Amino acid sequence: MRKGQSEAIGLLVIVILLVFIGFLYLRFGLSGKPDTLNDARQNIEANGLLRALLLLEMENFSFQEEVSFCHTTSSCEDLKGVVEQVLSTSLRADMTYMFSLFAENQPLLTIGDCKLGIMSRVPFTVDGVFYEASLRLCS
Amino acid sequence: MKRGQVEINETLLVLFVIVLLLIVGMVMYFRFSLAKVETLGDTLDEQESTVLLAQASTFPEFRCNDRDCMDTSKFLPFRTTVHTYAPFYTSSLGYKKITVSQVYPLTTNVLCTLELYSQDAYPENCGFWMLYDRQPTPLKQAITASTFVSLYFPEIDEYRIGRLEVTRYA
Repeated sequence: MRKGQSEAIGLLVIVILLVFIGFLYLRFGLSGKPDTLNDARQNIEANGLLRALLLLEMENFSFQEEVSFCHTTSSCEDLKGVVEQVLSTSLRADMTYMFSLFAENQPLLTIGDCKLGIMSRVPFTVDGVFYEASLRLCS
Repeated sequence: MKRGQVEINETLLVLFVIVLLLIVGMVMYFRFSLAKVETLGDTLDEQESTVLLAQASTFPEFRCNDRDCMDTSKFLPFRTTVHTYAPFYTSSLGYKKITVSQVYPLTTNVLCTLELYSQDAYPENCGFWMLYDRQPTPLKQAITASTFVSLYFPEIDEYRIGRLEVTRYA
């Protein structure tokens, strides 16, 4: 082997090593942290808030009775007011939401506007009528 | 210097550069491996907190008998239970703080104690409960995660909305 050839092989080895080191840097240094935990937490949060809302029962207000009243009389202003109040006091200021309520699969009430986010659905029955509430949180 | 000596010097120089590059590569590899292990440790801690957050409301120590909620009348006895069975709770919960606060209807930001609980004004006279708190020394980091829970007050038979917070200490 001539001297020029051996020097070219040496240079090639060095280049291969540099490429290998660069690959290692890209593999370990630039790999981003997965965002699945944040999604899981937001899902837990939406689910917890929706379930707590459905159970809300105070001296002069019961969420499930109010849902039934809204369905039978089509007067949903009180229910809407309480849901808005609960969600605005509970959620962070930078968080938007969309709350939807269905009675026998027909839309009954929709509050807020939020298209892309984690959604939670909880079905329930009141006086034999099937309802489904959903809450979508966007941040 | 003879030609043979020049070539030996040249070979030694190339070998030195190669060894240097190998050492730099190994140092970088181990540095990033260590960083990855530390990140993995943090991720596992966060996952543990998330699981705790999802499960805490179902702990038999304070869950409701028939509904998916937390019975507030069990919060203060739980503090006593934690002290009585300290080894069990410190090993299972570790360095954490667990609090529950009422978010709807809005109330005062006062810690609920046995003294306040025995007053007629309860539950309007306090707004949050400290369920568990164990801090490491020295405290380096505290990361909080929270979720909403339904709070049952058997004294007045009402269901309100609360926030369960789990703070992870490191």
